[in-house]
Amino acid sequence: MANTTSEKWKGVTGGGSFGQRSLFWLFRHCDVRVGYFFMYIAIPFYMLFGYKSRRAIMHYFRDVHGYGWWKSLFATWKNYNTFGKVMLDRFSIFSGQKDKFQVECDGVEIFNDLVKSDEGFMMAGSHTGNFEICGYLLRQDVKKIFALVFGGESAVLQQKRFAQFASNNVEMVPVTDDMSHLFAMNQALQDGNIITMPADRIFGSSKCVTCKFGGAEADFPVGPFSIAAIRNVPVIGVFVYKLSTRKYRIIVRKIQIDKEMESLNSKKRAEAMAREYVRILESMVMEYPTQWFNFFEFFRTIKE
Amino acid sequence: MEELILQLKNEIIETLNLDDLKPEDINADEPLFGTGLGLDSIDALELIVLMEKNYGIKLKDASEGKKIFVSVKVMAEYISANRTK
Repeated sequence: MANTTSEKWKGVTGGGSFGQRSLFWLFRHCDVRVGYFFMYIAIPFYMLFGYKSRRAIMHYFRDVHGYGWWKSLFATWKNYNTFGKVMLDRFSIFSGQKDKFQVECDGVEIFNDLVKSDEGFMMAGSHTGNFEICGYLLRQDVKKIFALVFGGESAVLQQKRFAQFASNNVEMVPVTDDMSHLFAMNQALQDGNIITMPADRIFGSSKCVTCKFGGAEADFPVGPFSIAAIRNVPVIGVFVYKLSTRKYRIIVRKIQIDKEMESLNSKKRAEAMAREYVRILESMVMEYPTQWFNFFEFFRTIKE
Repeated sequence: MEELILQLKNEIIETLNLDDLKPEDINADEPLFGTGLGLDSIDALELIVLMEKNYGIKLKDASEGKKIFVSVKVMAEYISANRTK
């Protein structure tokens, strides 16, 4: 059973520059299903040799969802497959194939209402489903979107993203040691724009809340919600899940805290928002269990 | 200046919810980040907003922040020279 959190995320997304360039080339010329075919061949090797990530996902299915060993193994294989497809879809979209995907919307009016208002707001994402493409799926040209990204990713992927996102009113803000990202986010919210950031992994600020999640528990970051609490702006959780080869479902939920908590200081409000976000994320993960893509020991077993 | 330093210490304690600290526990010369008070990036954002709301000072970029958020004393000196409130 999983009871260690020693293998934390290092802030670097895998994949080399050559491989990424090849994928961009491939999807400019081929259907995404060609990529799926090669992926099916590669998945067993990933499962065989990616011991740490496989173990972490097995722990996730066993501890969070309470699956038995064989069911966890099968679900892990399905999880790898879905992750591969989601990544390939992302490259396909970044290569300009976005019109080939259909989108089913749930709660998008919350996003549209916030876009119409003068104030800025925050979109909290997670490493489940395909959050990164929400900048495409939630189309609007009123506000600029500032997407916080961790600096460890390859230059090729960042350049491509930037090129694609620039035409979609999205600007990337890399996390840096000199804290310039904080100034950028602060300014973005002041100007009534949108900031997006992952709200499931602890990186940068170590402030966190420990939450029960299914049959396990984990630490979740407070930082993203602190920014919203300090600037007193609304937060929405945005979740994008793959339904079929060409179809995604985008779900928007407002992160609301109890009325009586609204008068509390920013620290308490941020913690309450983080807990509410985790509650919603948990319900999403229960519905889409094989779209959980934190491939490291994320959870702790609950000690009875 | 001493009065401003004391006021700033009180504001930092209140804003950052450092409930277990009193103004006299904070050395005005000790670093705010890393060692010293041990603040992190989210606390830095709180300080940016504090400077803006309480003293009308809008910090534009990280390099400016780096020079100011050295210690309470350095912050107080900057506020004294640049405040609009």
